[in-house]
Amino acid sequence: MEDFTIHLTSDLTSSERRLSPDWTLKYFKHRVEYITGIPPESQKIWIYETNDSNEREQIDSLLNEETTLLEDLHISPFTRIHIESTSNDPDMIQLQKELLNPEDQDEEGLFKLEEKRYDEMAHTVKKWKLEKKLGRYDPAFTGKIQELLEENEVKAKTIRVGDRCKLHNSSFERLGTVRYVGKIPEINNENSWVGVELDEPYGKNDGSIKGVKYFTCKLNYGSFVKPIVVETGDFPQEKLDFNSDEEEDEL
Amino acid sequence: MREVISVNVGQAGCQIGNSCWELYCLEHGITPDGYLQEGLTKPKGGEEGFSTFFSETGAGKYVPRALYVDLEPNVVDEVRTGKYKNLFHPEQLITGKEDAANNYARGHYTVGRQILDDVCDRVRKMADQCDGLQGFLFTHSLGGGTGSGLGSLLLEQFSNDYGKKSKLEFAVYPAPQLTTSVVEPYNTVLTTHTTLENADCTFMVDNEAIYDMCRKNLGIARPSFENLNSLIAQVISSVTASLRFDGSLNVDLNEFQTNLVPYPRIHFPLVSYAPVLSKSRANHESNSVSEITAACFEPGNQMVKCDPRLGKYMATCLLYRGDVVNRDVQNAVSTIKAKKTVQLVDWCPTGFKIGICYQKPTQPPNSDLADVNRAVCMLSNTTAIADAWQKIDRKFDLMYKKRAFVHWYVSEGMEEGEFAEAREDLAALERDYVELGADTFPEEDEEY
Repeated sequence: MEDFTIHLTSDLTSSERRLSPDWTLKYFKHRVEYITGIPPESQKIWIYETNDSNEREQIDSLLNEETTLLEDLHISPFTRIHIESTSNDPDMIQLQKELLNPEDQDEEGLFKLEEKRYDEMAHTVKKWKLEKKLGRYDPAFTGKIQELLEENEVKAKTIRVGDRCKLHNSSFERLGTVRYVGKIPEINNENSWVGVELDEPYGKNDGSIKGVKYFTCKLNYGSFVKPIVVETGDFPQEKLDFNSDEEEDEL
Repeated sequence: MREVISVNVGQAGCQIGNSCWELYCLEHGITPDGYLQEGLTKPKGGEEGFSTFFSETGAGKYVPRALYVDLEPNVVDEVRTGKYKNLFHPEQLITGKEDAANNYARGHYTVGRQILDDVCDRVRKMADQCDGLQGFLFTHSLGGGTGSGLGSLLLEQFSNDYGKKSKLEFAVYPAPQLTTSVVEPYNTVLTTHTTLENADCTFMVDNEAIYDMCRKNLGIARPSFENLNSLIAQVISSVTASLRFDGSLNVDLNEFQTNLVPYPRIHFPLVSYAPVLSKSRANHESNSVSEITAACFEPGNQMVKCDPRLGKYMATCLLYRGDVVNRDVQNAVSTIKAKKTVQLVDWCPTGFKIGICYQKPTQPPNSDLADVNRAVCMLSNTTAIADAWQKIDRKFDLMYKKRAFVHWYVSEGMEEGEFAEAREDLAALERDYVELGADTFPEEDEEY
């Protein structure tokens, strides 16, 4: 009989493996330990006829492992062999639990790279960026941020409470009335903001931010944006008049 | 000539190699025993490109420039006895007698060393037959003992022996849920540390992502390794198509590195492929250039599970195959660039590099994939791939804090210090990725 492929599974692992029918059960269990992490004495071996079937059969634990060959067992190509751990080593049981949900574990004992150590290392992206003056290590970059900030403040001075306005967003435009211009410490201390009461309920609040009221409007009609996206001018409220539409259709 | 030698290492590497060479033979009109298919007078797609991957013997027979290496015979025996047994020279199939037992230390130090000279001799022979060797293409897993241990040993050795020749890898990255062995996190961290300086560009493929594609797009309820590998082979074929077919742009192995890798450590581009369509669905899809291009930006078409919408792009290559005209590509690309979810790093100009190869993909007769007129493979260096490292590093830590299974490595003569050293290097890599995306202009669109 030639080598064949089987599915090997355990609670932590799943893979396809090539087996030789002339391997002894002992050798098989030895190899399985390095795949599943389960030592031979704790391996309970289950055979499923195919990868999909639910019916299973346990390999007799009293078989002589040195003389039993895989070809003596009911293993055929694409059989699924499942290894169950009977170990009661608490460390292993704990590890198994943690590995099944690695993201849920606390940070205790996990490797943490100190920033100081990272800075000491010879070949890092940070060293490279510093050396080449890229991104935030580029004087022009910080200059550009300052420039954007100033542009915003200049714009803010042109906007008056009560102005009609149009908000230019990368995806859509909205109309409304300016209700507030100035700093909002609840968001940040760097730049000015414009509070707008929108004509339609596409906003995010009722004119307050984190419980502090900057103006009053109906819920979802209020929005705070950067001055740079606000265009003031003659933007009359658009009246949605369904009747006139119907009339046009009739014409 | 600009030859490329493929080196398949370990079970996954060799099995993916099988799927790849089956596909290459079909694409170039070569029979399983290495001769031209009936009716052909020369290989399909032009001889020059073809000769980068195949050599010709005096008798009109073509032989892959490929090497199979495994520490145990079982997997390579499939090649020795299979349909393609006459395609390869027996010397190209190298196996040992003792397996690596899923242990990096056995693949890298003890058992792997015993086979090293043999492999180097064979590679030297193949290299000597080349006029202008470009470099090497490795396929291996990061989680297996042979793939991780011997794979990295060979990469190191080739760096010594072949200096600046390009070394690209297709590496099977351990899937977050589908672990093939319990020590995969150790092997992955150890091999990545070793190869970080030796590989020029590494394309990772995670089995879980491919598995989901097989299930969702191809309707295979329980995909086998063969299903996964044939899909991986399509992707590898798209990446290498421009090297193998005449008249393609982007024909140098080192161009991948030039276009995709801004800094040597950051050499793990994310690979996406479209369309992945079953035969029954193919008739309902138009597969326009803009559709398949857009599909590459959807997580369901990625070879590694991560979310590029949360990261930033450093470089992007789009490699098209088949019936594709440049104007359609330009339109598709400008649509993509306008999307808010496609964020580029602020510190380097990020163009979209385009490659077009006019040979459409080929499907083996038993393939699950539909025959299509065009396909695209996207290679993008995005900071989002750091997710993959973060996940594996975490598993490493959970095991290492208990020193679980560490004695398997130490008993092969490996020093425990190598674990700590490798882990620190990977932590620095994670930190590197943070640094790459750290520069942000204040957003104009912010709204509260």
